[in-house]
Amino acid sequence: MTTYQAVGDGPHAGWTGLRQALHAEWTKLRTTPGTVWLLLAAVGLTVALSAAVSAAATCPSAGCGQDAAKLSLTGVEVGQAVFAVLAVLAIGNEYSTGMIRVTLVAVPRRTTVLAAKAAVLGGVVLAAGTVAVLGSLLAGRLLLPGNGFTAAHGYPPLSLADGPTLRAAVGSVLYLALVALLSLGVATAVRDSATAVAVVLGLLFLFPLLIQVVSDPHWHRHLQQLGPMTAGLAVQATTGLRDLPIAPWSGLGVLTAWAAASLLAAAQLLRLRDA
Amino acid sequence: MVTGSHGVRMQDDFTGDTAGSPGAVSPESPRWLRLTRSGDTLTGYESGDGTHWTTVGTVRLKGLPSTVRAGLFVASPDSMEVTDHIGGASATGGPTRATGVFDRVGLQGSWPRGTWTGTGVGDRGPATSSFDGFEETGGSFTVSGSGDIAPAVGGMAFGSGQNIERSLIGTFAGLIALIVVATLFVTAEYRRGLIRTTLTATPRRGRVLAAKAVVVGTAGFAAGMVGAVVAIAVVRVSGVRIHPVSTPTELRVVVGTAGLLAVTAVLALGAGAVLRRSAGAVTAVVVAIVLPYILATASVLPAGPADWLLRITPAAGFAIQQSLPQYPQVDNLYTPANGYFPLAPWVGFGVLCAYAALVLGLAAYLLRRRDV
Repeated sequence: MTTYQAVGDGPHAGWTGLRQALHAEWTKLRTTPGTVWLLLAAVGLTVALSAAVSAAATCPSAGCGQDAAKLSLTGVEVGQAVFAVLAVLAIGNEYSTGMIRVTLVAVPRRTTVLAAKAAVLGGVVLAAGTVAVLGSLLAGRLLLPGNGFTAAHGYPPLSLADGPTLRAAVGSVLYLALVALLSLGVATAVRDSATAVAVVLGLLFLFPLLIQVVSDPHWHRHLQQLGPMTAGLAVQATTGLRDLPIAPWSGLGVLTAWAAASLLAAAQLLRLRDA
Repeated sequence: MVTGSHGVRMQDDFTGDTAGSPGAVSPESPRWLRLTRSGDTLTGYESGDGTHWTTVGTVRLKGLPSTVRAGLFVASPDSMEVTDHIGGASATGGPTRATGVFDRVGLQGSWPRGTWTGTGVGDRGPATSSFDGFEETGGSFTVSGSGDIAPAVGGMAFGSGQNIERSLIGTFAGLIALIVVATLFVTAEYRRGLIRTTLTATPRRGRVLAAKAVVVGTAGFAAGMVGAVVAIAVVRVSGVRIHPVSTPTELRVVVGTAGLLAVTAVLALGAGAVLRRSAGAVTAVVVAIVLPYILATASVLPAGPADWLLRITPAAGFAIQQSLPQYPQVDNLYTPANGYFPLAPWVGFGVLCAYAALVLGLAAYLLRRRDV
């Protein structure tokens, strides 16, 4: 009871509460059995797909029109699904086990709970995403020159010293973190892991599929600018920037808006509803 | 028509294509062609010597008016050079020109007396077509021009309208929803502990799983059937021109879509029983089925790896929805991005079925071995 009062009524209640909530969320995420495996799977699958694509791509002659950085970061498309599961389970597991009630009794300020979850999750995904992206780029750097991506064909080895490549790498890490935050918001709103995962994957995957069917060029472009995955992954492009439907950082901005909207809606629902 | 290296062919309505006798046709080895009409039925004949005729095919053109135009044509498709890059594959090329010589041209029946006139046929599509004139010397015609007259193929040259599988794009949304339902059908029992009651009531665990698979498969098939029929009907009513396909093909696409949903539901059920966690199972199945399709068709991968993805992953099953056939005599980019799968429809579906059987088998094995 004393703890509760200290959290709720002290002069620096908000900050103390957030710090304790962060610690609590970190403990929960750290000690949940699946977390380590999911993180390993996310990094492993990302690097594996990236390496496979780098090994399969070929550049037979100069000016073969390929984007080496984007190619070697293809694995992000599968990695995002695993990070989405991690994010969904961060709150979905609490709803399925009833733990959420304990959490909300311990930290009655519900937005604080969500903010703490988002911060801890975001940090973990940023760290794991960095490993995955660096691994993918390393695989590309090692494998691509063997398939004709040589300096003679206009492809110097992938390096973070190159501005666009650095932007693609940093952007991809941020992309993964934003997908995780989007998933956290959706899972908080729907309160069921399976449904939440399906909604997130639907949001990510249905846009690129719909785009293939829409023949009207106007709508085609708009859908590409709107879709969280199609817009967000624009940050990976390092060639042909003029032809992109949306500029790299603006694309990531669209995904940020999706994530923010999902978290705000989740915060509102979390405050208004019974747990 | 006669072709340089694909023998004699009879084509109709940009969809029909019947092959006649094979073999190269050249000035040294010419062919005789004859087209006869009876009502709205056209019959094509070919002959090597002008005396012995064989039927190539018969076509019924509904609502053919009593007065028709007939003529001689020459076609020459654009040259094409294919390059593979991150946007999939692309083709560059330019127009080519062909000249055909027709002799001993004859007409039987009630044709009006008059002279032949020359005109360019058709103006659609990216192909640069032109009519370069014709010459008549003593009953022999020499016609020159460029452009192609051929059955419609997917991709840039497709022209207006849509192929039927595009009106079934909603399959993906239905698939994701169904995967959730099928997974929860078993994982919800684990979460609530109902699985213990179920297995107490029916101790033969394989039987429980089989019963669940039958129920979820049937539900998926029924939902897919209704969904596909309604989707195609809605698109037709809304006025979008759907490229005509034969009734067996349309039936295969509709029933195949239902089958696709049914088998995916069984796969999701198996994954749920193996993993016993709903979020993990849903993600695994969605990623295994939808992601390879996106990677292969949404122009992320070069055509080679894209083909392999649609051979070895469960996404191969989407081949059952392919409605456009590949024509050997029509140059085109037959790539996944243009709607062409590397496997035949039922073979691709078989790959998906094999995955479902494998996962369901693993689920049955684990269900028997594990405590609940």
